[in-house]
Amino acid sequence: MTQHLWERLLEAKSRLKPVQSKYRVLFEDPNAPDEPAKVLVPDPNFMAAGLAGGYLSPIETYLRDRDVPDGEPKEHPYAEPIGPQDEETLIEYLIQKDICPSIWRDYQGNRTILKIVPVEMIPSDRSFRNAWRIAQ
Amino acid sequence: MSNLVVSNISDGTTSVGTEYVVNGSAKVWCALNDNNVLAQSFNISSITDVTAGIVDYAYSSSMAGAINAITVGANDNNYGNRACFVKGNTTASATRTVFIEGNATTVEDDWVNITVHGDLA
Repeated sequence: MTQHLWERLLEAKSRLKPVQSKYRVLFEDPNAPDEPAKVLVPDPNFMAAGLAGGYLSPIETYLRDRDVPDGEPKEHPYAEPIGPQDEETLIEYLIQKDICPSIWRDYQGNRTILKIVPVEMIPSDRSFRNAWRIAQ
Repeated sequence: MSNLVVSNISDGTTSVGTEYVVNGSAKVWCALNDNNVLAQSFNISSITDVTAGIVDYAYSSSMAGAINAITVGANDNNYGNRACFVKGNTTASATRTVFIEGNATTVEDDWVNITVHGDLA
């Protein structure tokens, strides 16, 4: 039987050095146009596990689990782990896993509402954090 | 990986069932600073900097349900009269924290720490 994902992550944390991603994901919620741009930051332990391979579950299992009610058995904890991924693929994995599909899949408008950017492009001065928008 | 299969752990005098140890472990933890650096984390896939003072935490391995024992702490090196809360958007796979000042406006902080206890999916 496949080891539970949580146990695989424990093993990965004990064996692998965390990896800081070079990328961030900037996105806006089309259902909340007055809110500032949000910034997704990949977790260093997640990145290390994904780059090494043999720990993370396939993204398709998370997408199917979105429709499974709480308390019902989920697919992703016991799914066969995927092999090594490159950093760009892991960022796309996180977009699908951690950002609402209404942003990365369903949006039909003309604004750019999602962008993968190098970490250097995120302002270090947060004085006007609530005014951040994605440049069009 | 090798497995050690035991039903009890003992210090020679008292013993406890291993299911208490496993089930009682924190399932998620994260220490995040104001530069969005995850200094310590486990079972987090990403965090999202939502606005000033609001952060979302996505879990790699989901909890069984949305109701869990979530402990949140925060510290700011310069200011008092502030508090950190878990916001209502918590699900089985993510939670949100909000950091506010006394007048209820959200503000930036130096560190936010969360720990989640409960049952895994």
